[in-house]
Amino acid sequence: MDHRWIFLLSLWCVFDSAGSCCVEELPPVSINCYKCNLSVAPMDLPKHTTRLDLSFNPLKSLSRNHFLQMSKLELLDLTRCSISLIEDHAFFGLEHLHTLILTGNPIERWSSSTFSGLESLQRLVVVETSLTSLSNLPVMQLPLLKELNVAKNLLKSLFLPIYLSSLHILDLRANQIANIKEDDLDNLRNTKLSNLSLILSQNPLTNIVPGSFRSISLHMLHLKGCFSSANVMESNLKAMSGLFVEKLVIGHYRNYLKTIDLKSERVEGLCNMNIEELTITGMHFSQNTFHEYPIEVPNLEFLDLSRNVLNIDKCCLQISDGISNLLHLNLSYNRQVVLYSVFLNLSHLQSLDFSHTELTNVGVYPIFVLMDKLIYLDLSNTKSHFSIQCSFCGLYSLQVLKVSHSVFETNILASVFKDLKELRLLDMSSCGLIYIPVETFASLKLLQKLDLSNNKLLELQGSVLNPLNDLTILNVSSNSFPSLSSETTQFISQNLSEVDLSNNPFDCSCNQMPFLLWVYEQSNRRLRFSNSLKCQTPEYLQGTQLSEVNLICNLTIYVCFGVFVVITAIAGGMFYCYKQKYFHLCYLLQTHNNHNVEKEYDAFVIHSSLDEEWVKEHLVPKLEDGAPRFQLCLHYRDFIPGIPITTNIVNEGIRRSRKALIIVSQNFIESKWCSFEFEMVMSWQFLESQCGIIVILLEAVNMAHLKHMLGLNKYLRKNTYLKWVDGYVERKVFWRRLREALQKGDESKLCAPQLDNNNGDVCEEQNEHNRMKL
Amino acid sequence: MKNFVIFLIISQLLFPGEMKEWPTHTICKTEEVEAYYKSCDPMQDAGLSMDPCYRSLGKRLMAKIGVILRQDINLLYMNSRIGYNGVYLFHEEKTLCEKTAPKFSFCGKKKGEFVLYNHSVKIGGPSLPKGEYFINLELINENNYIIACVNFTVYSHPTV
Repeated sequence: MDHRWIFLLSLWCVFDSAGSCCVEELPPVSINCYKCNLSVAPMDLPKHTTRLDLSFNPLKSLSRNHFLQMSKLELLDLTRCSISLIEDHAFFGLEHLHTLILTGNPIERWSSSTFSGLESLQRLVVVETSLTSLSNLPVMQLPLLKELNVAKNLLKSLFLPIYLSSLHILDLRANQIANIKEDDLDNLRNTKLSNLSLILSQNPLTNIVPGSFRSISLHMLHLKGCFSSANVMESNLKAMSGLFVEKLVIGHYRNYLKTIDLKSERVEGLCNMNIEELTITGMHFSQNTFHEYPIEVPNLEFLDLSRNVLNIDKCCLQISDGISNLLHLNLSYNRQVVLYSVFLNLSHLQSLDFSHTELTNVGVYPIFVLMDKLIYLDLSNTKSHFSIQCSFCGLYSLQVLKVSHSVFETNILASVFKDLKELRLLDMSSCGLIYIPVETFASLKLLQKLDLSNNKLLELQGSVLNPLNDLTILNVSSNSFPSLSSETTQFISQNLSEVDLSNNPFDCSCNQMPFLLWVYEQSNRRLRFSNSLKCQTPEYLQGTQLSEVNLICNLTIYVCFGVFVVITAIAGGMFYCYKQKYFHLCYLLQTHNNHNVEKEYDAFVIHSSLDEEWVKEHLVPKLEDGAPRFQLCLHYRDFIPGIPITTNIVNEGIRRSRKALIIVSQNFIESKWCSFEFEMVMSWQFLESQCGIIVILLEAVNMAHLKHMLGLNKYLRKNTYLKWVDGYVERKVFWRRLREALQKGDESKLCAPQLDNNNGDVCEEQNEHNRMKL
Repeated sequence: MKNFVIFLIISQLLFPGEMKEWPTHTICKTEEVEAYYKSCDPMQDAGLSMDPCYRSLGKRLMAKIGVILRQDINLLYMNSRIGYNGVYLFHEEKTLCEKTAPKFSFCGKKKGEFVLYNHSVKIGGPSLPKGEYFINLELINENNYIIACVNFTVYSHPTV
């Protein structure tokens, strides 16, 4: 805990003293004071700072013991600090420092004790420090120095002091070395280390004394942009005979425009060197000269002739003759190569790169048929047109095949890869593929990476991918499929660790729900999944991320489901409440269609059988025998036996009667049939939409009981009803009102407003007349 | 022109950029074409010259660019956005430096080094039609750090 506080406190001090400009970056503790306008190095840095970047600060000079308190420092960057003076022992105490960068400082003087104390220094960068000679650099006290970068100084000589002979990398790029004398590299000659990589690129080499490189052994020699003309190159390469070098790089950078006529003499010098890997690049060779002059470097294993504007007529006569041990050949970024029958002699090759060079005869002849050792083959951007099934026959060891930007005949696809049983990587991007036959990848059991991007695939069948048991990385971006089948998505989820599906015209309508759901799932899985999957259709979702659409789609379904549930609940509730009425309605509706039944009764009398006495004694005689005569429908008299009661009620009673007379009494309320009949009548009234219910309250009823019959209670409260009471006058009024009510809506009885039968005959005539009219 | 570039380089070295806005420099000005540029890198101005001054893009011209590197350029990408008469035309991305194949001499240079690219350039294509051109050029390294950023304005007014 204490340590942490001290650390924080010291950090605060740093920020305070350095004007809060230095940024601490963890871990390891590294302090970046880039461009903080510091004139002295901050003194109070955390004790365990390992990396300190003071670049672009106007330090101007480094005093004695400048970094004494930063003993843990491993890397010190003093790039462009305008340092012109470094006092003796300036770096004293930096015993763990392994990298010191002094790029871009105009250091005037180096003294023998400038670097004293830097016991662990391995890498020293003194680029652009106006150094005039390697001997001026006091690096003899740096026992562990492995890499010295002296690029862009004013060196004129390549003289290597003895203490530099144990270096691994010496970068002398862009100095002014024009001449190399015989004894410049003497100190290397005497040691037998071959670890040194010497970079002499961009030095204006004009005169190398023959024998300078004799029995010198180097790991790597870079000579890019060193020779101003073909003649200079020729003579200097000859002068370098006797050199043992593992990797030699000669050539130019881009924009070197001078054409070189390639004669055998030009690179003759190479024959007297011992080279394993040769790179000649950036040369602008004149056309049609290459094939006449074979390169003869017998020990060469690796030949890189990329970016030379080469035009090779009969490939590769010149190589197959001169270089028998060649394993790796790179002819990429040249103009044109015509593969000729001698190409078959290169059967020992392990890697071959023709990318970005126009190729002839590939895909027309089984040109690789003898190359059973080839592991790497790059034919991308070669304008190849594969038209025979045996285009890749014989490549039994091939592990990497790149054929992007090529054209495949559709009919050969099914069997063109049948020999490539060892293939690990296949790049078929930008091949204009529309359809891939199911058998295409059947032999590629070991394939791990497949690139089918930038094609025009309209679908990606699972059956195409199914044979690829070892596949882990698949790129199908920028194709034309709107979605993936469930078989394909299953394959991807089960086998792959990385898949790129971006830039396809995805369909985000809800028919693609399983695919969209799958995409949504992938964002939560271990599979490395392409980020920008955007919808193409439907139009309103264009440009939306697939995973977001997924949610919206889900939401719609949930909303629909919710609404459905609510509606069902309401319907269910209503059904439960109005179950009875519903049945009645249904029942009535069933028979409602043929409603042209003649109404032969004037009224259907609904009464409890216990009140039958009153009906028989009072109602029937008074209405059926009076004038006008009313025909009543009475269940004990008019219902047809042998038919269900309900049918009788509806068909005989309700449907054939104009009105319904309801005799309400205590018995009525207690009777189930009565309440059923009442409900039916109410429903019927609703259907027919005419008022036809006359209620007669026969006796006072218990209101509490009445409340159970909801419909009746409501009806009584809202409508006028008749009451059977004692007394002569009251009875007279009762019968008059009843007759009037029964007559209402029936024209045939209109002519008999009177209570009693005074004009009965006239009325009968009128009735006859009415019937005739009908 | 050479003196001008040297002046710029020296001014860069002496006053490592504190300025936010850099002055507009003239590349060339003839009857047919005028070209100006302005550094859009907040860290430093850029030195640039072009000779000779043609309206035709097909001809070769010597281009000089001088920049002090603020970071390594093992990988270098060039982004250019081109507009014509105030309308954005197109955008191009190009890889200038790859780790394995350093095409240009400045590829692989490290922080603090001064890059002076002095070579003939052939852009190719017909003469510039009349109008005002805007070109934004950005050089970006492997850490997405802007190595150099320059805005060009070119006015083409053919005399024919």
